[in-house]
Amino acid sequence: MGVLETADDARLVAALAGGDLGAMRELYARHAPWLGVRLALRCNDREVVADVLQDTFVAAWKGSQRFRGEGEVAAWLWGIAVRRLVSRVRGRRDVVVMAEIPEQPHRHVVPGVEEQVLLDVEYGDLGLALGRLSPEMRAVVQATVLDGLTTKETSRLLGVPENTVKTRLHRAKAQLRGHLAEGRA
Amino acid sequence: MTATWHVDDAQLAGWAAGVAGPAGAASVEQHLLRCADCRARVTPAAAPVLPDLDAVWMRVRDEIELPRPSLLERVLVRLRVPATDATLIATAPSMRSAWLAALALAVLFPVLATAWRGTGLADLFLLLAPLVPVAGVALSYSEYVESALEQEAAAPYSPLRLVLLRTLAVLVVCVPLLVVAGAFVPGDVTWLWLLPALGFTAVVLGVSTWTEPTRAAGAIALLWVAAVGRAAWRGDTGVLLSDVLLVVYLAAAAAGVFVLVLRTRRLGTLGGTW
Amino acid sequence: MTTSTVSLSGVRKRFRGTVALDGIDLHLRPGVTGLLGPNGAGKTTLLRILATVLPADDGDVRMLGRDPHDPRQRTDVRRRLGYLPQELGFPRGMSAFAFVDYMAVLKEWDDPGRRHAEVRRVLDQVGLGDIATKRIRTLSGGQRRRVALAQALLGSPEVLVLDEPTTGLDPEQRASLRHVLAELGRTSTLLVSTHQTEDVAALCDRVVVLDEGRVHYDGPVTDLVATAAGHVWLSAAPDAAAQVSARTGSGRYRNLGAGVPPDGEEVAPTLEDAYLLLRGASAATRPEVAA
Repeated sequence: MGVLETADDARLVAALAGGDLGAMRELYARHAPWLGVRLALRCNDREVVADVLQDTFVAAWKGSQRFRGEGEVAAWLWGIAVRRLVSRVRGRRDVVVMAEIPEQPHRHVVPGVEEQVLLDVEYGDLGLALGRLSPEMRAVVQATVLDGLTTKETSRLLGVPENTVKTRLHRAKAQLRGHLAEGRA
Repeated sequence: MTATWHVDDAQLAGWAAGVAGPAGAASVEQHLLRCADCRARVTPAAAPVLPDLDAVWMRVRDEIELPRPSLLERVLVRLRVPATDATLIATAPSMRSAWLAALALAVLFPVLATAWRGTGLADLFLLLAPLVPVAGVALSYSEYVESALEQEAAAPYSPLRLVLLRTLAVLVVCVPLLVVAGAFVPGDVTWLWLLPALGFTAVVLGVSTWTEPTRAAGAIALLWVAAVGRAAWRGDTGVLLSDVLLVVYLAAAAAGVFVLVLRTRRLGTLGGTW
Repeated sequence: MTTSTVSLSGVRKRFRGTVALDGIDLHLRPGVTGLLGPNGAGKTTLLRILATVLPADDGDVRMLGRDPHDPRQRTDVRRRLGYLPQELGFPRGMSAFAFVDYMAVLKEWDDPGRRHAEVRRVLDQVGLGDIATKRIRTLSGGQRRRVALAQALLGSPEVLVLDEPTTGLDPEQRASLRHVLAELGRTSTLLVSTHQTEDVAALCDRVVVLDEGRVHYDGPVTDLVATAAGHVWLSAAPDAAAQVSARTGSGRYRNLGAGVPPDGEEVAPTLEDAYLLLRGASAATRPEVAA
């Protein structure tokens, strides 16, 4: 057991191919919490999140040889998870995906000094600009830009036609550019 | 990139609770993909709709660990066979060879029938058809094939029930296929082969309470090949399906089943160990 | 003795004229009993009779107060019995989990949820929990033995008949298995055959030595060891007069026998010494017979 706990993620994934359930347990312990939270922030149905999480790890077990050892295992798992989410919610109108994110950061959340600096530099203006987008447009930006989905996948996830996704993304970008320019001015 | 910067606790909690705002959430999420330390600090308790992670783990484990029911098992369960019986039937590996043999005959005879009319075809069918279920049944409880037999024998599950389940599985698939094959064969053989098949199968089951079932099946196969060969040589295989012999086959079937039930009850195992 | 969980009196078995068991009397109580003896001594035959897969020709067998020769009582015995055969066989293409699950079905675990939990428990117990999904044919010999052992442990049976459970195991696995068996021996009756006297020394309170189908020794392990006291000597050179003379890790020779070698230093006997001396004594009192 001690060996597994210190092994890096890529080693664990390599061990999956050999049928090592211990490696699987460790991988799950490391990645299920944050993956679960990230999925839960995108879907309001507990059962769907549970199913997607289950599918993700089962897919990782079966397709572990598809991980080529390059890049982060976490990113690989998220790639599987977000696509599973897309196919799971396809055609389900009752599931709310990308629930509206509050306009203002929660009052209990006080960013640390370093984080504040980072936010100011990287996201400060962008954060404000994003906050001013309509929820529909923000969802498109989040799915495509931040979660790395294709237009097609985004259209499935959000349940809107591909053209709509393209239009919204186009408009969102224009609007963001406008807001950012405003901010700088 | 080595992460020297980390998301602070409050921000991580805010993200998990869904109150970090779009940019804050994006920042945390991008960082988490690259930082194992921060991933390890995610405490999912605050997340609004997070499922029970332990329960999900058990589902993951079930899905990768539990044996996936074979096609056969799923079909059996659909036919309302209890799941445990379906497992036991499907675990006998030799069943497939009997089924394949029956399937081969079902394909072969229609083809042969188009090219070859006459008694030769009927003789060949009479030779082969009764032996397919006999072989299937013998193999399904033979220790040469069922290598786990020694452990199985010490289990409380009724060996009679086990052998009957597997016999039934052989017959249910083989007989209809062979009937299809028989439909292309001229004469009475089309149906009458069922009686020797039944008789032989039951005899193998009965004899299996004394000795290895494949031995009984082998002896029967030899006798049958000799009898069919002799009759064919004389130009009249019909004698093997005479009224008297048909009664004999039926009697053998009854006797075989009787012996099987009686002796298995008394002995508790098959294959001649008792 | 009425507290015996397993009782054999005058049990005989012959195969095609060869006598395999020649009047066995044996009464076992909860705890771990080791069964030692050379190949062909009748160990496996004895264990198969206790496992209810082989009938005795003659004599009386009682297990948990029941007679395995009676069909109804035999099924009762089988419900409370675990058996690891010497010869292992597995249905083709099965994973370790699938095989133990299949055996659990034969052992009347009908409810899938409870069955799967029990299968996991026994696989964990033998240390295979994390590789249960592997196909049996990809496992090592020691791992296969543990898969077979796992099915014997299903339902924590009251009687466990184990034919060479430690064969093919590495020293660590052997140690952890002894721990598992010792734990089971607190409540269940275990009869464990082995070729390793250290297994018996480490695990058993009682040892039965079988030879030529008869019981040659039956008693506490410590008593058997004590019979060798004063017969084990270390010396610089092998002692020609000794019954057994073997080089040890220190380069000196360990001599077993009645005589004292020239520069002999007496040492405390082990179970192995006592067993070899017992074997030597029994071989000396009768004409040479092939094992």
